[in-house]
Amino acid sequence: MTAMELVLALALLAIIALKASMVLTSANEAQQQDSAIMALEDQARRALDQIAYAVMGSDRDSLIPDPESPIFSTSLRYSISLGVEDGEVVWDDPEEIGLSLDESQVIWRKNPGTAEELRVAWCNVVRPFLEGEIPNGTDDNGNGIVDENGLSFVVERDAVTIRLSVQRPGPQNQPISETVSTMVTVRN
Amino acid sequence: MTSNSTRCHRPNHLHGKRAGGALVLALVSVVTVAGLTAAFLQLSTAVSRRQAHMRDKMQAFYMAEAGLAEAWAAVQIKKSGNVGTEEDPALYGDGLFWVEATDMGGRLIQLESTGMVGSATAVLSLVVEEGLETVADLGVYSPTSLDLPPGTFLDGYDSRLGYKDGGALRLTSDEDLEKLLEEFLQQMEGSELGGLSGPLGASAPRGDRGGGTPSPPPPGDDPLELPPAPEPVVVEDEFAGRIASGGGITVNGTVELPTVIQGDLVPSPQDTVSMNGTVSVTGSTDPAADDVELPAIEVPVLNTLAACMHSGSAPLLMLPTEAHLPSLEVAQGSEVIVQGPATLVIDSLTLAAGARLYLDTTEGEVTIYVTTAASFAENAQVLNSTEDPANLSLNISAQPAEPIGLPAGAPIHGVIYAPDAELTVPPGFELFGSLVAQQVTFAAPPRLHFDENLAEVARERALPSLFSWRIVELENALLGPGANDPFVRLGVNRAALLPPARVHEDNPLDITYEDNGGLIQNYAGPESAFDWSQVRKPKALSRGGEKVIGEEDLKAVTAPTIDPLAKAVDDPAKNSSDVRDLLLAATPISKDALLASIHREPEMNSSHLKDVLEANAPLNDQIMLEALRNSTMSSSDLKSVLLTMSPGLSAQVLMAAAAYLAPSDLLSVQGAQ
Repeated sequence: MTAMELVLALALLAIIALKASMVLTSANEAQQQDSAIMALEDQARRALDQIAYAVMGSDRDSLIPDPESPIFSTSLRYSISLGVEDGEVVWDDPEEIGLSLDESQVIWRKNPGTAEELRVAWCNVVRPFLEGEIPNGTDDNGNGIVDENGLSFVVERDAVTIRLSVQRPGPQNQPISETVSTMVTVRN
Repeated sequence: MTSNSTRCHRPNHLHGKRAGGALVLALVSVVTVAGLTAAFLQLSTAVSRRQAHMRDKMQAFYMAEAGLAEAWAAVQIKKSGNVGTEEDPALYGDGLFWVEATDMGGRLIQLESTGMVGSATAVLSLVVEEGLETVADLGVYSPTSLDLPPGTFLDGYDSRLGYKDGGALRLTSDEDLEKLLEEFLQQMEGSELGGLSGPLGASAPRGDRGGGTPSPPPPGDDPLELPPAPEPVVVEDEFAGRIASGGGITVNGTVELPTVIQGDLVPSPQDTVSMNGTVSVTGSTDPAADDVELPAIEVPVLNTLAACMHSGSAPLLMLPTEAHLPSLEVAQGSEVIVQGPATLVIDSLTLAAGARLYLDTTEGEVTIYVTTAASFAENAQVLNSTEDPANLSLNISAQPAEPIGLPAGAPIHGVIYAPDAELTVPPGFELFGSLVAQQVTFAAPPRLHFDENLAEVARERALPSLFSWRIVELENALLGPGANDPFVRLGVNRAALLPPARVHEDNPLDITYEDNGGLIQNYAGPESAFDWSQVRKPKALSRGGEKVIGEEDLKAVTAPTIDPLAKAVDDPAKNSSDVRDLLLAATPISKDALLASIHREPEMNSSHLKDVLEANAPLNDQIMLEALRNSTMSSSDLKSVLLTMSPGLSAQVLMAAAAYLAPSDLLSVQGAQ
């Protein structure tokens, strides 16, 4: 093989390798992006399900606050039923689900504001405002609520609508967001 | 020169060697890609698995809720609430469930439902409170014989629609009435008769439920001016009163004081109704199928306040409360107002002459329990602000030696229940609602109006209600055999499982029913051995000794039977003439058959329909209005039918006729009134 042939072969090989690596890189990035979105959605769903199951078993009369649309609340205090004893419903200690001080976490608290308070973070990547919403005094995302935060509760009779938007930096450092919502009926 | 010289010679040191890095590069690339793929698969599999678990958990949750719904429905019809077992669960969709019922006492039943779908298991617990058996739907009832004096009046009504003197009435919709009025006015303005004065003018008020009586018109000069419109009545209602007894019922009436019973008289299964003198009974006098057992009054235990004795002109206001009073005495001419919602347990209740007990039920019901003694002056008043009997109940659990005289100073709208006391009904007594007592003595003819809405309320209150609900468990199975298959986890054969309706716990059934042959049959035994397909109509049904339905329920909820003649009218094989002949041969025919002939598709010939309507005169307003709206009936045929029933046509029919009759025909009809 002459030197020319070798150089030519190496050049071709380099081009092919470059193309292959570009494809691999793109695929890798896409895969990472999709994985990040899937993971974020999974995280949001799990947090939402936890909130929903907690609210379902609560006493309607114990919900604090009691916001009606277009008013929302970023926290909800409630008590769930532990069962019936001697003909009376036994209620658990009060619990509260809401945002942390920096509004980036969903915090579940038991006996909030007391010495026996227990805290667990259910989600760490909450958006400051719900996806599509900006703090301008109008309902930008058309859901009937004005300037709602990343976590919002709206109570209407026995139904509680829970909305959660989460956001984290993606693999390429651009933010990725996911919004989940559900409406549950308070059973008690 | 030989050919060898043209050959390309390899250097000797390269002979036998295969040099080159392409394979290595290819291998490296493949390994890299494989590694990336494996990592991606692992990540996505983990996420997919987690999402599948979340989905299974949600589905298991709803599976458990389905189990609770199945058990709840069972408890409503007096079944135990047990649905399947862990060894023999119910098959439902892709999963299974079973429900365990536990009697907690105090009318509470715990239902614990386990639902399994995929890898998840959900256990939900629901505590239901059994419904209250009420007596409000009994009407006027006494376990002992009843003797109705001459002049007694009984009818029925629906408090949701209002009561009108002379019988319960139901009105058309306001839109129908307004349309008729507008059409009539337009027709009259364009006709020779000119405009109208009086209540049929533009300023006439619309009829509405319970009121809206137009004022009578000033005398007019036009001899054809229509008479003043009475209450906007369209349809004769079929509400009926009810008087029942655990013994016989004797009804007395005289020419001066006839007794009118617009409803049913129901003696005990072993007794009968005796009627003496001028007595009119529109309903049934058949004996009851079963004896009635009056439930005991469960007096709640409440905080005790001081005894209350009120006198003076200013009324005493009691705010909404639940309290026990040793006594409540309202002096002569004084008034006590009790705001609902309120529950009062009063040991001794006394209303002096002219005293007023005003129960403000606007915001909620008022329930009063009298446990020791009750004394009401004859002209004392017990008033219900909403006049809805369902909002006021007076429960007398006292067992006095002497009869208790009821107050008659004003009509009572409520439910009076005294299962152990004898009540005396004084002169002038009028009741809207229900009266049940151990013994009822009528010192004078009463006016009794049974509220059929109470039957509806009683049925609702008899249903169980939710007391408590909670999630007991909501988990995914760990790895292992059957981690994703609930049937394997439980060790059951899916093919052998039955649907939920067939795995309810067997209950002892006691049923009286009409079979497909029209015979009355009885069955008592396990429900699993009973063939429901032979039941045409149940008469009475109980499970485990608890009544599910009785005769009074059947009367209200049994679907109306369709007149076979009405079905025959709709036979498309028959022409108009055949239908006319059929109906004329069966005259008089039912309302259903008349309506069927008016609404028949294809429509009947106008003259044929006219013949049928004339043969069945007099017709009620509903039939007449439907006939007027029939598009094929000619004006002359309508006129002929209306003249057959003249004079005596209602203003409603006359107004409607104006919209459908030619002016000359309308003049003829109006002239005949």
